[in-house]
Amino acid sequence: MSMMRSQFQRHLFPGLYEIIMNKYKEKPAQWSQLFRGDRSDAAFEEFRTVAGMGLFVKTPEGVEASQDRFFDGFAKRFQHDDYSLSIGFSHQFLRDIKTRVARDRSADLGRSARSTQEEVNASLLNLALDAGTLGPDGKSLAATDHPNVRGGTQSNIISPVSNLSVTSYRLALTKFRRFYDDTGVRRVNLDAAKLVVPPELEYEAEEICKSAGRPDTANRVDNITRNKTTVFVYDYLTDVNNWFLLAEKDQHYLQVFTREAFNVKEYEEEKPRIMWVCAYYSQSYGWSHWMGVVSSGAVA
Amino acid sequence: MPNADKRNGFNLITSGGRQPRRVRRAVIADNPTALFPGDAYKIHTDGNARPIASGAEAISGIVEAIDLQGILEGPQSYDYLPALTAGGIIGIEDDDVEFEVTITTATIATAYDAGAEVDIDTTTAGSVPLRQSRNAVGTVGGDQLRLLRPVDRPDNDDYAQFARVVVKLKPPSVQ
Repeated sequence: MSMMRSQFQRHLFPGLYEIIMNKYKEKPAQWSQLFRGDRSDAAFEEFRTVAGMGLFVKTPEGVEASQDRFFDGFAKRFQHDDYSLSIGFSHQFLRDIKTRVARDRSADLGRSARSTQEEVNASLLNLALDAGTLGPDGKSLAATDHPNVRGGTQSNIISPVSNLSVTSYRLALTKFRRFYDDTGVRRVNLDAAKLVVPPELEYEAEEICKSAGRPDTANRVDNITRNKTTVFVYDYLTDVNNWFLLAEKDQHYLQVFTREAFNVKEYEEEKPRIMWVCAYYSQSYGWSHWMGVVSSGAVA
Repeated sequence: MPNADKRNGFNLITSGGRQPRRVRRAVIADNPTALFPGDAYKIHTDGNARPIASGAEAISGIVEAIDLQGILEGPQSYDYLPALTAGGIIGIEDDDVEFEVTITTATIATAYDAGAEVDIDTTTAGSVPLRQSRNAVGTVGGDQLRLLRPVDRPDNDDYAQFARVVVKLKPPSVQ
């Protein structure tokens, strides 16, 4: 579908004071602040987990040392998706239109691509509790029973599942201290870094993380979890109640791969004389390990 | 995570200062359930290995790995044998070596000293995404495996449910 003069008739003669199109400030990229971003140079990228050895065994005198081994774990393959969009203008449109509306075509494609990326990559958290969106361990990103490679399960949902509050925030911080690696017996050190909330919880979150006094009581109590994490208001979260606590980017595996950066190609379709601008990019997203993410669970 | 249910089959823990007796066994395509590393198996009268189905069957060995077969252009092979799939396993058939395994019930110290025997608990299917057995052993009083001792690890509550214990195969002559 290309654009014809009849669709923009007022643009055919002068007197327009301003075209209001991409005049509003664009949001800064958010996904890249939360998720790992890497370039890919292959048809797909793959991760694999391995669980190391269990704890040492107390060994009496003269008794043979116990043996152990590594265990191969889950595999996660990032299969890249291609995205594209094009826009065409008739020769007559470009020849006769008096305004600069057509000049914004490449810029608008870029803006649209960036928005698409945000919406797509936000699925990482928006579908974190979706029972139909399973990760490499066969569970949702947020689940109460992530299997360890060497047996047993761990939960990355706070218990009880609860709305954002001082208490639930502290539950999430505590959960960060209780994780084991895939052996199920060796503890790991994770630093909770970002309290990720939808815009509806922005001020609740700011109060919890920045107040000098504990915000949920009239008593004079210091807010001892003040500045434990930063607040990240994620404008692309669809649920207005669910919230997350994320580790630093180098401590989790929420990942976006860019296979082909945004690029634009222009060409003229000769017989109908339509000038096309096509834009493309290719990326994949997903998670190869749930560690470093704590969820509030599905709260209403 | 002390004594949570972390069953992951039988894993060699000591072998008496020598290598255990390993045997390659064929598995034909009539094996009714998947066979994972860490599973106990029996050798049927036709000479092929199949998973242990219940506590009533004598255990011939423990699957240590799947025999790696070159398929097509590369070293691609099964890392577990799905049900009704032929292949080869590398099994440990040695009644001197000891295996670590989860016990699903609480035990008492004297049970070990009295040379208790236990049956295999196959109630949990193996993990397909992890290609691992979920075999465990159950209540004292069976006759498939000899119960030797708890594993003396700091995270192991020796006599509680889901403790990690050491067992060994029984000699073929007494099965």
